[in-house]
Amino acid sequence: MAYIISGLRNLRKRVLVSATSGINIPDFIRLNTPTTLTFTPDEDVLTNLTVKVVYSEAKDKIETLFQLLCSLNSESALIFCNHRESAERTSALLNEMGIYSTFYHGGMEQDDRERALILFRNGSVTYLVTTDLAARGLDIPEMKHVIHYHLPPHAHEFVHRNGRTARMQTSGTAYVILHRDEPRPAYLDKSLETLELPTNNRLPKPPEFVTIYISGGKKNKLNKVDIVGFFSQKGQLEKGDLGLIEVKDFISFAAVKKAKADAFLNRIKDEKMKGKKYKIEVAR
Amino acid sequence: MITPQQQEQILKSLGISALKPMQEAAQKAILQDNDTFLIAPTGSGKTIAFLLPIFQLLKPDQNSVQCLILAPTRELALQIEQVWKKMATGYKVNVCYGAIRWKPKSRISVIPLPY
Repeated sequence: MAYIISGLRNLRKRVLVSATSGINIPDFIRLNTPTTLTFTPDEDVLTNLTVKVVYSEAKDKIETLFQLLCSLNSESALIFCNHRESAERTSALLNEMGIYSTFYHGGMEQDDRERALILFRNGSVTYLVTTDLAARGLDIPEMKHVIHYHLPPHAHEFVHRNGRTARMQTSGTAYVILHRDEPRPAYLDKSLETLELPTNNRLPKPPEFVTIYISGGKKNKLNKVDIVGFFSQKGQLEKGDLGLIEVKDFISFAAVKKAKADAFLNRIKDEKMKGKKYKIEVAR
Repeated sequence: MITPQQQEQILKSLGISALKPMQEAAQKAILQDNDTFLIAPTGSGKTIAFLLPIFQLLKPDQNSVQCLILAPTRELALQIEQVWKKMATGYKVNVCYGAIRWKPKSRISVIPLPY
């Protein structure tokens, strides 16, 4: 950032935004007598966010995480770990236990990072296990649950992670999984509700959608309308069978109802879109 | 500058009916000469709060880059790009980040970032 800003010789205006204060603005920003606007949430009207503590009897919290996920009515959840390796391991453990999840962290190839988010956003994956890479700014509609599998080291990270839910006028819950002997961080208010997990939950329902990969994008002159047209006409998909579509430069992704996907792929196997043959298959 | 009709059109493109008090205050502050530091809760609409006044400050007769937005993660940069496109202002936006494979036909500018 310092490198980029130092290269901007004629910078006339700087606008900084954050959800947390108390950070020092580094000198390289050369902030010039800023107007500071602070809109902290009103204590009384308090936000739509509820924070609950879930105690894990075992030091390894995986069983508690499993039970928690099973109690969320198959609704989507974002699970935070403190390290890349633990995000991958936790996702793998959940998959072994029968809960389909994927992971997203900064050690992945960029293609895989974007693909993981696309799958999560379009409902092909219900649970995303991640690091603080996903803590800031990401806007995922209808995200009702944020789970702190590992405790964030600082209060501000706790705020940013929680901020992935209860956005705009919606409500959401953040769950903190705490081992009995684990020291309780200062940012966890004493008055927080403790959640007792029912133990006889069923496994969450599998995702409703599956993501279809298309080997063409904007630079192949494909747009959303082309894809919707092809999927509904040649693929005979009805309106509700088609979910989010994301068109990138050279590839695209479209969410299709899982129950319809096989028949759909069969139907379009030899068809052309705008006169060209593209590879269309279930995204890995 | 922006007419009330233009602003209404942009909000309509974004699917919102009116600016929130925070976004109005940000708009007012960013249009002044001073720099602005905006602190507002997560999910309260900060992206629109700064994109709208930035649009108002852009000069239509200038062909070079007029605004640079720095984001902490690549995916957040992509998300801000999407919001700008949704605003349908007519101004081009380009998102630049590292670690994407270079494709021969691509004209994307790639800036290698350390993370």
